[in-house]
Amino acid sequence: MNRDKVIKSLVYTLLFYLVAVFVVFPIGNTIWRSLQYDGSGFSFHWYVHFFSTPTNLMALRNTITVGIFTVAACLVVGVSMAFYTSYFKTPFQRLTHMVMLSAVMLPGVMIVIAFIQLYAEMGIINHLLQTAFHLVNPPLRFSGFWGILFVHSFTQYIYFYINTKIAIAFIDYSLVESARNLGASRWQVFKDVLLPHLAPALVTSALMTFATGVSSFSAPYLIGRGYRMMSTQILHSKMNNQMSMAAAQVTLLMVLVFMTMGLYSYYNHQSFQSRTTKTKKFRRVRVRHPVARGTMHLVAGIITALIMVPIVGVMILSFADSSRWMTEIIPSEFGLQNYRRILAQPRVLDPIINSLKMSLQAGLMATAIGAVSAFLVLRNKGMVSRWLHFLVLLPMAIPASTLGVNMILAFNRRQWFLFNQSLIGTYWILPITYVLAGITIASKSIYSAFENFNREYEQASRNLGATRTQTFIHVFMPMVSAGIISAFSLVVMRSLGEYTISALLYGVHNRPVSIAMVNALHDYDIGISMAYGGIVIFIGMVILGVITLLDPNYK
Amino acid sequence: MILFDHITKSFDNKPILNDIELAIEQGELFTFLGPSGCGKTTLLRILAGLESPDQGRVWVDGHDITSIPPEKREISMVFQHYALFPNMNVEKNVAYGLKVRRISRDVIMERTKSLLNLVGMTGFEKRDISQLSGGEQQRIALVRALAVSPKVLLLDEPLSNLDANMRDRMRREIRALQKEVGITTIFVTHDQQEAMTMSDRIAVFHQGRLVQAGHPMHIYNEPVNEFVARFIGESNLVSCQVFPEWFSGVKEMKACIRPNALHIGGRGQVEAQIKVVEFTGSTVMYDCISRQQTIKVSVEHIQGMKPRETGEKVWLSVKDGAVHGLQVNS
Repeated sequence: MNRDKVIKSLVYTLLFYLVAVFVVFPIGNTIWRSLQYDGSGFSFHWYVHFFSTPTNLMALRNTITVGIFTVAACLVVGVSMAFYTSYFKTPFQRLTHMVMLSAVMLPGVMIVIAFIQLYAEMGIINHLLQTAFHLVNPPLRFSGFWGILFVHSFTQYIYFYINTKIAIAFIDYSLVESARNLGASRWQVFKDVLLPHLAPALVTSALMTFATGVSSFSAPYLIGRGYRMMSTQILHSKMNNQMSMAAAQVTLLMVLVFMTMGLYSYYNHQSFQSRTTKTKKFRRVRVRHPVARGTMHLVAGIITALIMVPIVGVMILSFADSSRWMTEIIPSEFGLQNYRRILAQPRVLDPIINSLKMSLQAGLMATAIGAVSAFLVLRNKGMVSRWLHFLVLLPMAIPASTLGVNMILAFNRRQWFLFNQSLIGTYWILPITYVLAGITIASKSIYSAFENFNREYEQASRNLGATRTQTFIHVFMPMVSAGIISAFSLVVMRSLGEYTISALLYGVHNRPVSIAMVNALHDYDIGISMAYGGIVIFIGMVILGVITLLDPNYK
Repeated sequence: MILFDHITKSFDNKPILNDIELAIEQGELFTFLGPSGCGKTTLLRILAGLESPDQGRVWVDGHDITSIPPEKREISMVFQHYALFPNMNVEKNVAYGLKVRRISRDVIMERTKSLLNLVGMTGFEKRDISQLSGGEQQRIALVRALAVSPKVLLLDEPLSNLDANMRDRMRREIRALQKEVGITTIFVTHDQQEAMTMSDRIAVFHQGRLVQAGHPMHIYNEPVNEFVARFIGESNLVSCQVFPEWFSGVKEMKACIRPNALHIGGRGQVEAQIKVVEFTGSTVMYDCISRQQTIKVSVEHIQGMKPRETGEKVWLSVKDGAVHGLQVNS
């Protein structure tokens, strides 16, 4: 065996070891635990118990209801805004696009907290409306099902937005022209040409949004007020130390999401095929009718404002003097005191340092694994590579709450394949789980960059006398670095404000900023909570800038 | 001299090259000609070291280079889509081969400048690749390959992305440059006109086999089989029964007669009826029907002369020595 083959075999072995230990084993272990009862061997006891408990059934029903309504709401928000920024000729498209992308960058928990500060019973906007209209009770009821749906509508629209935007960019304009030439009206062109073209993107977006909607944790946990969903039931079972019940709930949620993701990969393939026939670039449409144009700008303005308000709210409130603010509707004193407190007290600063450290580590690990596996999968088309590709993308189908429970059940005892170590309670459990949560997005971004790299450049370089190393440094890396940086940034950002996994797995060694933010909110230390949010927003904006510059999918 | 010594290559059990044996002389402009999928590019890539043969050896100047990695072969290639590095500007692309050889900066600068001057692209040094037209990219790809002073230059259908006028111009430029530099050059194309106008010698490939090699005129005038006769220029392949007085008794032969070797009008040998008339500018092309066979006749167009009409009955005759016999199914 030559040197290259030995290195390749070693890399494959290491990658398969990592996915076997951290992806396959935790899933298998959870399913196995859910099928065990009181040491009596194989049993469906926990499933029978689940389906005979009304609260569990209600949680399952609520979860599916939230999933369906989330899809409908996000379809309206995402698709209308994709059309606004890509299909129609409109002003400030780049700026509006950046606002729309903020949902990718900002942690869900932070937006939920911001919504609470603004729209909850004691929230600023509710207070203002109550005062302005002299109402007895606050007008907005920002909790339960409608609260969750409101948050989801303005945080989970991203799949609809991005996929519709890409599909619009790939519309073959000659099809539109030929339809018009054959006598089709604008409506017929939309119905017969545009809609069939957009359909695969809409179906895949609906499935992805459904998967994220049913997996959502921070919104139902923080504003659900008794509205039970599967993710909160899982946490409830964990808190009550009913880990076998949690395992059954996790398995059911995984089945629901796996089925959705199975459909997703089927339709995604179709969507990809329909994108490969681009011939003439799409031309933006000008809305001539003044009423229609005004309505369009108004709707887009409202949606953009609703997305912007929590971000701006967090930024402003992070400068508010929280000691005075409790007695006022709107804070009147502003300063840097919250940020000073964070910087002055190591106990308050630690969560930020922890989160930065862990998210950078997770970013590096996920990018390295994503890059190596993408390289192997693209260069070797055999069965082994296809399995590796499948296993690396598998975590995409595992909701964060499920991932957390899987990790607890798998690593709360010493395991021989981890050199007789237990991970729960250690610092590393969070970075490793962040890697699992981010590996799919990293792999996809890097895979796409590598796939677009034309191998003729590499051959041309070798042909001109460059060695493999010189080719890698001078030709390959500069051309794929955008995808790698984008993958790294996305994982860092997602890990930086991650809440669900953190809530299940954090310990004294690694308390992250998202937990500190929620804890500060519960302690009515709202200024600190918002200042944490302000720091995360600042980092998020920097990363958003980097990604929109580099990654064609976000441009 | 380059020698392909019984080269065989398959991809996924599909044979691509079958026992190719071919010698190319020093300083020649040699063309691999054939339809898509005939194996010509694979043979070129084997010479560049980008593919390995399943069997056979490749020799350059008496050295077996079969196992030498591409970067050590001193053979430069111009790729079909040029493969100019988009992350480097014009100057850096041209200098790349010299830079990876750790040549001094001054020498690189000087060589880059003189090469850009050679192809009339002085002043383009700092341009991005995306700012260049197809023809400009083609020239940069060519001088990038020449910058490292290779022993052999390989051109893989470099003109296929250019429009007709630019292709014609670049064809002449490449030929002139090759003569000026005196480098052994192998050119791959599926365009027989391109091959005929540029090459010292041509090798015609079909289904992974080398069918015929030789001077362009020799291949045109004396094709070895029906495939070459049809692929190189227009031809009438007429069964012997049609002209029994020429090939009496040799019934398995076909006659290859080029359209310009037929004379139309007067009292000829075969009576035919004109079915299609095509005016191409310098010639008028007639499709004539005689005994259920279509015969193409090309007649020089003289200004002021009216072409014959469709449906007109005419006599055809063959110019002396213009018939070439072919083996059927060879």
